[in-house]
Amino acid sequence: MKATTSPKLIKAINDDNVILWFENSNRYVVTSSTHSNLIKLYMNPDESRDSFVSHLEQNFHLNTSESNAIFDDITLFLNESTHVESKNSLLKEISVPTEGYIEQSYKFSDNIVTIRYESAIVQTLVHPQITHHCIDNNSNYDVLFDIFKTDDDLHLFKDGIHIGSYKTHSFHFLQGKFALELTNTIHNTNINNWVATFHASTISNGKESVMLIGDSGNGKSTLSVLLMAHGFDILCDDFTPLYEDDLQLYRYPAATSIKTGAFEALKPYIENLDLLPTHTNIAKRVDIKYIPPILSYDSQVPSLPCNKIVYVKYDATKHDSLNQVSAEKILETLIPDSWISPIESHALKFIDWFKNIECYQLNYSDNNFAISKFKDLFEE
Amino acid sequence: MKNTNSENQITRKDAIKKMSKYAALTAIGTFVILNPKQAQASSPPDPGGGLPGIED
Repeated sequence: MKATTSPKLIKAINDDNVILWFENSNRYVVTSSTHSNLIKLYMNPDESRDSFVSHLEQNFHLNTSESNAIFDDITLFLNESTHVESKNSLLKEISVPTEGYIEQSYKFSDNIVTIRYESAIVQTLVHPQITHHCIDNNSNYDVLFDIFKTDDDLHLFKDGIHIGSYKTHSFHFLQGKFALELTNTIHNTNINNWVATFHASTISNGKESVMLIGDSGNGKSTLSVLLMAHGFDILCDDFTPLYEDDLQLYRYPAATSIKTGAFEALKPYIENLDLLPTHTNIAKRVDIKYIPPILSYDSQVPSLPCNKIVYVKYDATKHDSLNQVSAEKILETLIPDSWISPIESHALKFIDWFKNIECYQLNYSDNNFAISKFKDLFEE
Repeated sequence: MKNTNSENQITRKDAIKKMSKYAALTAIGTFVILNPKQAQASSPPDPGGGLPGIED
């Protein structure tokens, strides 16, 4: 029983923290080396409850009751960590619409992508982010996507093959899957080669990249655009994929979405900001503009290494600061916000990649402070 | 200990309830359970938000 509930990976990421990874549930646990040692002791097939409790009493100065409580907690925790919730799958047959759609072609370097949207509303799911790649409709496309809705389900097809279906309230999963499929097309690969897709924006200086994470509304995208206006490159906005072969972050060519509150602050830096269309996004209850990259897609590198992650927080009530923070603080935001491949070799690569990451938190309200700190980060 | 659900299906209150579940372990030190999302996603909508015309 112990073997089936054991974490598949136990890896120290620094002097203080250990990551446990459970294969069945693709769950990560960030914990201390003390916990990790207790769990290893528990997992020892020769260890009985009595010997475990006795060991804790002798070596950890705990009483019998406390030691038994720890044994029970580990038993419960390990059992729960391997539990997998069943998924509902959509089994009914779906047919791609053959007429009445809105067709639009896009060009990414040499790749021509055509998307058939069932309606103008469905089009708003992905078109605004990639409008800057629009070309005249081209029947000689490399990839054809169909995006359409039946009843309460949204569907994504690629070259006539069903990729996924999502309830309408989960449209952000369709957007994420589309982002992944477009990334596959642009970088000529497939889903099996990605270690993770992070909910993060990534900035580069052309040689290396820094990932920005934080809750929605923390100012990641606004800061990304500010940094772009000051000579940096936005490698990815909102969707940052990590590739297995080189453990580099790969470009996702979406425009950066900024919300109403940032329009005035960015106006001095972005030419013709007023002329960009405003999309009223009820989902986020806010008006949004999409800022395309300043430099052309073709002139930019496709991927870059990353060894710094910054948790960004726009907060006018606090002093501006950039400080190193614990790995735990970053992982708390990064993991639940991201897809990480459930394959063991990918989980191992993710942990090994993260071990080399320097973790920071930026609190800012002064744009110049944030920009100067990013310049420092890239020069270190 | 903090417990974060991949699909945001549990509320903060539920999470706190779960946190107290492993009281003996959390008393020792850092113990954070983190579940990645089960699929790729863009930024989720704000609570109660939907896409105009998309939801029935």
